[in-house]
Amino acid sequence: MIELHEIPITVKIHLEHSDYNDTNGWPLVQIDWNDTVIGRYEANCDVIEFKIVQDVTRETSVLRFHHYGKNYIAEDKWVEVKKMYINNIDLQHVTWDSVQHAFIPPWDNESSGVLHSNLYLGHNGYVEWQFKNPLLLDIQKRLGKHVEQIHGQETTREVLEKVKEYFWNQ
Amino acid sequence: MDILIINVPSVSLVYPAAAPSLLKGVCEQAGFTASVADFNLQLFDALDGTTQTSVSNYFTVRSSIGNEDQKIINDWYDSCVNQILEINPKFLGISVFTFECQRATEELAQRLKGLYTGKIIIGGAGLSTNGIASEKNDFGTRLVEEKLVDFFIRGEGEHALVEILRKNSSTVSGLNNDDYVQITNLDDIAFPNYDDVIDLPYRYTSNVEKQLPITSSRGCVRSCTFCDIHAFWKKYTFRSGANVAEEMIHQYNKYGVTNFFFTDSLINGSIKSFRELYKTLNQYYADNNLGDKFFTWGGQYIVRTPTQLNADDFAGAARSGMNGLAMGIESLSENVRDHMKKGFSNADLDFTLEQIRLNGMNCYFLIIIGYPTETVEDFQETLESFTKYQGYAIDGTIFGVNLGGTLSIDEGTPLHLNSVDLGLDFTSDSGAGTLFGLDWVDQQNKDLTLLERCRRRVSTQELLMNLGYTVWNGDHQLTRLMRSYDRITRNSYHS
Repeated sequence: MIELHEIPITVKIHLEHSDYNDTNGWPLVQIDWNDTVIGRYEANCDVIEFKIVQDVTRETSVLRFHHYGKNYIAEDKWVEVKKMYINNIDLQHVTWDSVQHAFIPPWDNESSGVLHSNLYLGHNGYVEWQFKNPLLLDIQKRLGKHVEQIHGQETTREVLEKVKEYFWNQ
Repeated sequence: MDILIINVPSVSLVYPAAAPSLLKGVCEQAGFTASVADFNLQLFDALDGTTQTSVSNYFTVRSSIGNEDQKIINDWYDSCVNQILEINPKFLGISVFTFECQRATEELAQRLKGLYTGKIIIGGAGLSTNGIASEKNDFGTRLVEEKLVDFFIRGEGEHALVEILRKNSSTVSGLNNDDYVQITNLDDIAFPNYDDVIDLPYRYTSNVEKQLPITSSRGCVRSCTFCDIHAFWKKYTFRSGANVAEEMIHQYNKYGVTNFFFTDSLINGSIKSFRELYKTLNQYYADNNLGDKFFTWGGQYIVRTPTQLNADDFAGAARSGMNGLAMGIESLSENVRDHMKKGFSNADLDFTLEQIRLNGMNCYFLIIIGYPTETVEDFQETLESFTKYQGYAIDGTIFGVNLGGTLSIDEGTPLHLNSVDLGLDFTSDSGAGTLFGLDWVDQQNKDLTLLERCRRRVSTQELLMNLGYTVWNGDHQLTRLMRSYDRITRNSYHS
């Protein structure tokens, strides 16, 4: 029987991007999940959709959205993440809880290339999101959707385990 | 004072009880003076959590109690009697909201005997111990026979109470008998008058300053096999949406209340009335330069097909402030739901959930585990569907699930009435008399033993907790389930 964490999770990233150019083509995008390349795409659409599987042996899962292939000839290429959905859950403000790492040329000693909460990639680089495992429960917590129970209506693991033991020993 | 209407333990403290204030309004409309006293709140308001549980159990499950808690209860009874004697109304009306109010009603009546010279009237769903639809009410009948009370009112109280006050009691259906007749025109009934209770310290949920109950219908449009509502309310009656909106606006103007909880079995039984309600509210907001969702309102809701309630309906209802929909989903297996006669498909549920999410609303699932026809495959389908719907729990669209205490067979339900044809029988030879409660087995689905039902109930809760659903009232339900199982296997369940 499949374990909960083995069920594939669907991610949708909604984009805006620069137009097609005869010389430069479309912006190029790569998705990494826990250092594994999920796919490479031409950003010629509004949504990129892909599936991931959690690795619960890791404490943290890492999603990276790369913009690559831009050079001095392709100056007007850009791509911007507008929204993200995981299993159709709108990540809302969690989308902004990200770090951008720009690829800085060796002669630029001024900037660190690290930008927080910036989803616009006008240069080569990537935006990174980190999630604690299990991923969906982390999102629930960060969205602030965990419901506090009211007095007299509680549900606890302690009682569950006690009752489980009772019925499985019958 | 013509009548004092009270409610007694044990009922919820989350907002004022609906019936006493409604009946006050009705009596006043007929020209009588009426007052409401919430004796339930008076008792529980001063108690801490542990004492509250212990005292509540005294009334609800008739548990024994320590001397200290008994003194609290005795003092409270003395206070109730003193208040009644001081007001000295011609009539005392006691709202017996559920069978869990029976003990307090009886003990208070005993203490009033010989002291209070007026007439005592009792009414409410708690007149019957084995379900609202019991053919004969046992509790009311007994208290009248024992001369502890003068009248019981079976069914609705609005007309009957006024006729008693008018001393026309011989003409009233449902008065000291079970032959009640339903009121057909609910729009003519007065609005509730909450003057006596509006400023009392109810335990409103954290995000609400004040909340009032409201009732737009009685009965149900469905006839689910496990339910007794349609047996008690023979006909589904409902108010017009405009009349309901008028009451909400009236209560807002009078008390400043903007949050309402519908006590109906379903708020969308009449689609016409439902549409009229949200459209009237939206028009009121527009006419008075109030924002969308100026009021918030919710209650029990049935899943409809997209042709019955479409995307525009969801958007309009959300704009008017509908939220917090408690949906009797019962099972996520279509086979099981079909047998229950729930009347909606998986596709209808998918549509409904997505509309609730898209319009920024939330909902609550009511579930029954271990329905007689539930096979292993049906149960597995329910678990898989909860996994499929996990996203709705994560983003708060489903804010809670109530898994109940597995299927209980109540008197008056189709399962109860057709138990022989359906192959339902006692789990052992212990059952004498009528089949009810958890002590049943389906001869056509023998794998679904009582133990198997209990295990499925536990497994479902475990999965839901792992998936991030908020399971409500699980501790109480599981503990009670364990006790019931123990009593059934020891042959003491029916005693």
